[in-house]
Amino acid sequence: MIVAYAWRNVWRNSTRSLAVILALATGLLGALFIAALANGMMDKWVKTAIDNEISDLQMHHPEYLITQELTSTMDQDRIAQYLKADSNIASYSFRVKVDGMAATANNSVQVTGLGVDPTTESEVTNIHHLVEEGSYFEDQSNFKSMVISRKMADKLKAGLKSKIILTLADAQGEIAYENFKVTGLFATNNTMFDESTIFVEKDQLARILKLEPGQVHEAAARVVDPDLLEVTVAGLNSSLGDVETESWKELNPTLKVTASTMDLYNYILVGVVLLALIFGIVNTMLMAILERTKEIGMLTALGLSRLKIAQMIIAETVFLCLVGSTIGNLLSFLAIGYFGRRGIHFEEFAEGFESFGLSAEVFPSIDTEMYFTITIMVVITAIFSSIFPIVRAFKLEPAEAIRD
Amino acid sequence: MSIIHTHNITKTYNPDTVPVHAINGVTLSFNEGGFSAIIGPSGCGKTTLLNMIGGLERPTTGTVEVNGETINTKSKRALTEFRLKNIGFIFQAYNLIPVMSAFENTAFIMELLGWPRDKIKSRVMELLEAMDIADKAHQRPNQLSGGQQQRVAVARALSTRPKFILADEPTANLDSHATGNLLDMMLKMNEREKTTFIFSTHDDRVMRRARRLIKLDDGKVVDDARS
Repeated sequence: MIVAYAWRNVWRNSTRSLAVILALATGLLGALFIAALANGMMDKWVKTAIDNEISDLQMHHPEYLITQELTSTMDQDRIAQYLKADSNIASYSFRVKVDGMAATANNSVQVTGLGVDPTTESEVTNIHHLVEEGSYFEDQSNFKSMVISRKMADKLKAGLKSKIILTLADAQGEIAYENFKVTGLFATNNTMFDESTIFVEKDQLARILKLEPGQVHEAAARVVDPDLLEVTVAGLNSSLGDVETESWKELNPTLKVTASTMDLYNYILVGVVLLALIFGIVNTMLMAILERTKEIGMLTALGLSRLKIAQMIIAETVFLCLVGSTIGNLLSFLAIGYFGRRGIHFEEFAEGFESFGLSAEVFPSIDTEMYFTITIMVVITAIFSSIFPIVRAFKLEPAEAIRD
Repeated sequence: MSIIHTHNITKTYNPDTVPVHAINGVTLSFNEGGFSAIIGPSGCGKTTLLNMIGGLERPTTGTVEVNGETINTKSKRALTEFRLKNIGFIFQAYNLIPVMSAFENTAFIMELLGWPRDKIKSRVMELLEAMDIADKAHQRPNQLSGGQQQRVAVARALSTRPKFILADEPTANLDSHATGNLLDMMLKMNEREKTTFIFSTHDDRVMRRARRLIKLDDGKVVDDARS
């Protein structure tokens, strides 16, 4: 009965209730959409970083991670045996890696050279899909191929078929250099990556570096089930004691921290919106109580206990807020669903986004769980908001209230 | 048999600033099944006396006993429960819950006491039929006339068969016809259910039907006539 009474009380002054409901719905829509945008950016950031740069996991000689010494290599055949045996490994590729200087007649740029096996590399990263001009090591001419980004090409004032000299220190510490021909130009949405990375064929780079045959600096792999990534990493670490296997979260801690704290930021954002709305809700409920002073006095005179009065006010506030949050959640669900499929392209900010490795095309997304958590947050907000009106109602003396 | 007894009660408002002595030493007893009216000019203390009998206000001095139990020393919570279980109230302005139908208003106290649903339904319909408003059961107060609303209020007050009913100026807002009908209904219930009625009124029509008239002036009983 108290519940039915409370529900009807919500609609006694429908204009006032609708104002609060709309404020709550709009506030939640705004907060959830911003949260979904942030999530979408984060998901894309993580996905792009994994797809284009890091892969799900990487393996290195433990010393290489600290000193990046070219002699800190691993035996690729031995590692391949373990990777093949792991059922959660979908694909893998080995890399030779070196820091050096790429130069044309016009300019020179400090680069990280990645020596890759084009066939296996295509199974762990997406760079081959991002080649916009030329090809990804498909040029069969006698020249040594190099695939660079458009941004790198601009810096070097180079283009397709341009010659680039890669100068580096080999594994014995001697200066070495080699001529390459640009055979492919790619573009990712990570300016930093694009302006610092060049790709050449692994065997050619290993020869320049004077590495022993079969020795590599890095193994990158994709997993079948990302949820089992940590288990796979732990398994490889225990089987291969002299090789350090790390997941993308360890390889890029910034990415991990940002991704894992995104939910917290989103809840804080919704919390701030709800906090701001508390004042409106309290005001509305207070008005509702003051308008019904005589009625509440009469109910108390008839024998309605303080507990029932508190229940009634809490139920009223919760109903008011739940209607608002249901509308807000529904609108958010529809808006996020629509833009999540269609995507939002931040054309004007593309350059800024890409300088942080973020894509300018964002697909808003949100965990379904968040809608439920927010509903619980709204109920807590409603209960909190009803405290002051309850205190006011408790102060009413039935005889005085009826007389008023 | 006396079920209500006030012993030398006084009520002083604003005792520390400008004291207003609303009730000055009233000693009264009310018997079970009575139909009494407290009368007197405006401001003589009728409502204050009724409120103290009903546990809505505490006397400044003196005691109020109901069924031998002193009620003015009870805690707020105990008083609320006491009112719920023992007293029916009828107010001048009907004071029905506007968002509830006549049926729901009548059922309200029974619901609070946790009566079973079927028992509530039969009791509500019995009362609404007795009040001659059974056909208005599902109408809300704003769809009822003043007389019909007050009948719902009487039905609500009678619903749990309280020991007594306190009615504060119940006919003040009603026309002669509605007043006559309402008094007929209340007398019928008084006789049928042996419910004690105590009115505060300055309505001659009520005074004529009351079996006891207690006249107050300046917070004192100046006359107590029984017929």
